[in-house]
Amino acid sequence: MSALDTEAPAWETSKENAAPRKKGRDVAKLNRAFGAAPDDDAAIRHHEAALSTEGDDPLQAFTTYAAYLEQHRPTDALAAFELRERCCRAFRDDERYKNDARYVQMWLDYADNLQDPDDLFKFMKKKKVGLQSAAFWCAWALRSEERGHVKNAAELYKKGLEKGALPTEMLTAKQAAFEARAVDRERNPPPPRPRPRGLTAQRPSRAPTQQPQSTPAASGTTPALEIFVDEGLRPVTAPVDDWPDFGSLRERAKENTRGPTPWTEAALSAPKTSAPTLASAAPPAFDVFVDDDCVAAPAPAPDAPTTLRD
Amino acid sequence: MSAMKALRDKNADLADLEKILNPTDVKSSVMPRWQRKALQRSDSSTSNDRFIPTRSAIDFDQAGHVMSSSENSSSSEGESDESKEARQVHADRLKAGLLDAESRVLAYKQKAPAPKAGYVNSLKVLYTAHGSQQVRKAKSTRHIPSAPSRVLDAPDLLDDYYLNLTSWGANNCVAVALGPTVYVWNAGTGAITELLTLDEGDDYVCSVSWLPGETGAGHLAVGTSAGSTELWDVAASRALRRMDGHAARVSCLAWNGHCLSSAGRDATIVHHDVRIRDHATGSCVGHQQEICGLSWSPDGTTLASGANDNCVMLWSAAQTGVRSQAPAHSLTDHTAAVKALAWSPHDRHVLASGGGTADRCIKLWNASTGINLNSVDTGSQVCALAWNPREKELLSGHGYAENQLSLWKYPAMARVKDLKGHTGRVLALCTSPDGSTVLSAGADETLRFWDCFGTAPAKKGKSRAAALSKGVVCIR
Repeated sequence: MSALDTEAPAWETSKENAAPRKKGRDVAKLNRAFGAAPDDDAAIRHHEAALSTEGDDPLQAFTTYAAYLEQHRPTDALAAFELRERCCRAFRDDERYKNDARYVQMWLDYADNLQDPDDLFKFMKKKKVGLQSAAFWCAWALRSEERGHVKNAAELYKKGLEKGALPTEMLTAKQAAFEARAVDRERNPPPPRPRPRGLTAQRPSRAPTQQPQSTPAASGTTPALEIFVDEGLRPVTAPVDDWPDFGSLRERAKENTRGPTPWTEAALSAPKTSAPTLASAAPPAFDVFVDDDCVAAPAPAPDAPTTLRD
Repeated sequence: MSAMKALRDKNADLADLEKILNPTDVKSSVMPRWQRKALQRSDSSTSNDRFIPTRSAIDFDQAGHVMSSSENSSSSEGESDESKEARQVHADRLKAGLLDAESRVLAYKQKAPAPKAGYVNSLKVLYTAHGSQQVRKAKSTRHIPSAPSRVLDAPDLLDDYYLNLTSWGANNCVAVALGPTVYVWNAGTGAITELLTLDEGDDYVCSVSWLPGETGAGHLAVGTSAGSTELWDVAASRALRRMDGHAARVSCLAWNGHCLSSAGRDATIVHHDVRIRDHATGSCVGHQQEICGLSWSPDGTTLASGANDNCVMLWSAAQTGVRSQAPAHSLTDHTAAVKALAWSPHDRHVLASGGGTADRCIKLWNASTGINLNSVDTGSQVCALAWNPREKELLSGHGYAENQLSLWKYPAMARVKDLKGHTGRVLALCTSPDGSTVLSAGADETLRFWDCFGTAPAKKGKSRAAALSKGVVCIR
């Protein structure tokens, strides 16, 4: 019984190469993508050409291109992500799309792929994108809840309802579910996170040395610094400047990422004298049978660098 | 007496007849139809046939009323039109108030039970980047740097889960297959050589594997997409032999002494004895789809193979000379393709396996009995596994969407550290011969070296000096 008798479909034989997608994938498109020779360069070029920021409804070109990339390039999750980034940044100041469902969904899909979307949500709020959309508030509250900021999540649901975000049923349903989960969490609290070992060690605490009060008479030439003391301890909200751009992931993380170095400059460590190098390797314990046609062809003169011969 | 004998004979005949009609020695992985239907009947309390109404979903009182009211409405005569209309309106209002307006006489299916309030589908983690599970964090006694020590460019590295394109040999050389070319990089000196290029059309290299052990460290086995396995002498840069035996690409290789096992898309494993002319000495048949993971145990007694049909199969080494050998154990707990397979260097018979996108679990097995010891849900596709040769730790490489390497404490399976840096999914992991560095190949076309396993304890006195000297090299 040969396994090749019943040939599995193309999507099954390459099922691990398709990035998981929330809405699922179309089988026919998957088969085509994993098929013999997917020739979609023309389609990609066509889509790229259609992208622009002018026109009647330029957002439509972006959404169709993103959908196309997701379905027809299942392995390459990065392409769709970068396209969404471009789209979000291109239209961030565009008034007509501020509460457009497709545009808000574009932002939320972008946030789904970020590790830390809190800043992104705050940026969206500042730019007033999606404030009337229940999906925005629900997504923000869900991410906050998952990180453990339960109070923040509760406030977000309330704020969403205040702003009159639509559809309201979605907000109320998600809020009810959130409250049920909060009750559950109180009943079975999760195990506490272990604290780092070094910080809990008992050490004799040294009392801070008291600085002698400098009398105004002794300071002489320089007057002591006057600090305004607020009796009521009211928070003073300073006006926050405008936040012009969120920036692409690559720009924001460019100092945290390490680019590749050329191979020849990147030796790992000094070679151990005991470890066998290529040239000094002892022949194997068994004799390898050499094929006739491999013996007949003369071995090409090795042009390896001199270091290999050491 | 004779009657008893006749009865016995009759029973024997019946038994024979039954054996002929129901052959039990035919091994088939497909359940017979009668068994399937019996299971269906016992499983579901609701009927699967859409033309048979479900009694439990029908409200008989409503149905009776609807049927009787439709009969009565046609029978009243001799009434004026207005009073008939008024009665109709009154009846309609009553019906709307008391009964379900959309009620039908027959109902065909019941709705699925609603989830409990507040339930969040745990599959959400599959489609979003953040891991929302609270995993236990184990404490580590040593410092594990969070950033890779080296990043190398690997253009044209094929982004295919099923291939094994990197191998780190005992001679401290890394072999990397980029498209149709295999490059050998000496990790000690930094020298790089181009070993071979496949020139037949759009052939590409599918797997590479160094001959393990201190002796014979210069031999590299290469599997190609044409189905042939080549053995190269790297120091002399020449091919020693070309071995056939597969009908499709050879995506994984594993060495056991002089026996090279190769497996690929045709779902068979072929054992090659590289010392003799007729190299194909045995084969293993059992998998249904492409085999992507292959690993011999350190003591050389068992071969583990994982395939796209979600099975892990264990084969005994005693029968490597047999054609069409059957597996000793077939482990079907995974629900996705299994590529990551790693034998524990500390405990005999312990095998770790990692599942793909739909499964996302790392499972630990006792290979001699085939029992599952432990199972951990990691939250993303597991592409590769590597054991720490010194400590009891396991490193796993992951895919969508965090692309991290996770270090687990064994046997508690608590996550010690996540090493992030790859912007594309991790495809393969290789451990250095001194057991301190791990190389990870990513779909973002980079190779990253992580010093996550700690340095060898014998060099404790010299480690500080070595670290300092390494620091100097880095700065330059």
